[in-house]
Amino acid sequence: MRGEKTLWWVFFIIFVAFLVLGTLFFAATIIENPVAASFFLGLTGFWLFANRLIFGFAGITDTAHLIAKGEDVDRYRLILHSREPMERVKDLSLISILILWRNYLEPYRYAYYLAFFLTFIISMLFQLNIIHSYVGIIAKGFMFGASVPTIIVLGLDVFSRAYMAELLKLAVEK
Amino acid sequence: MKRPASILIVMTILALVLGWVIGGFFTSTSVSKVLASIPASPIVVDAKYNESNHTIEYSMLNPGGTSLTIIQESFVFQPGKETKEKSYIVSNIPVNVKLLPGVITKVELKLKAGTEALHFGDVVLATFTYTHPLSGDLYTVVHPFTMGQAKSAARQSKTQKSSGGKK
Repeated sequence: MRGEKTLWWVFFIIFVAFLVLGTLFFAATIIENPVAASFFLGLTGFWLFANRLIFGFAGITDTAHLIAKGEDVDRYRLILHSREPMERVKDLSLISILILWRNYLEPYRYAYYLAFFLTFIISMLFQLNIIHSYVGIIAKGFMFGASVPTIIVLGLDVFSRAYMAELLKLAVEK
Repeated sequence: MKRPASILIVMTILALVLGWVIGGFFTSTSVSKVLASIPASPIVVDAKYNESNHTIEYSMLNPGGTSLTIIQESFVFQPGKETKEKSYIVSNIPVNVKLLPGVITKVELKLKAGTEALHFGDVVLATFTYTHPLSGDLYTVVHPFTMGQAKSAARQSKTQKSSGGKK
């Protein structure tokens, strides 16, 4: 448990260091480089929309892990995250409320993937010279920036689904 | 829990590939930007004599990323065995031809009016003076044109001349 926590902090510090260094790097290059500027714009803009998904899926994964290990889970917080009326979910099991929480995130996930898909298609249109313009490389930079939060969302999405599947298997076997 | 671990590995590989692609993208854009700012020397890929206009048409390739401007032409005419024309020099013909990057541009050289049409063996040694936007210096390209000879022969004479210059 202690080693896990240390590892978590190490990863967190590395993550923050990367964030700070990356921001400094981009601040230095953005001024003269429109491609870097569009990359940064794509990264921050898509992260803004991905934030809810990233923290949502990470929270679901974490809670599922805690439930599977049989540890205490704050029921009030879980209900708060699921955005369901108190009376409806009061007597439900923790796993059911967790599924409701995931269902709440479903439309946001769909809209996010749709937005990334459109960005990808537009940059591909430029790439294949269907629309020929200098804007093409800007669109490509934007797409690459957007792909960074997207891969995080994708990973946490698949991750939380796998954890919930394990949890459901445990619950059904009981 | 086997599945989350395998997912973690797959996502890590995906993230590494994505990082590689993004790094490559930024490298390629910056490298192409640097390459585009290097002025190159124009290359004469073809020269043809136009008898009706009494001109020589040069096809010049600008292999670099910045545009060059030819501002001056001059040439030396050396007669071959079959012509009665005497040798002459024409210098400082002001022209303004822009050579766009990566494009073959046609450059005309007007021979002296009233002279005979070129015969087999006549040599026209043309000098093109060009500038590029990064400095005010003048650069030259010298191209020997031999009437009626294949391109490879013209190239050979050029290398001979340059080696002769070194001696």
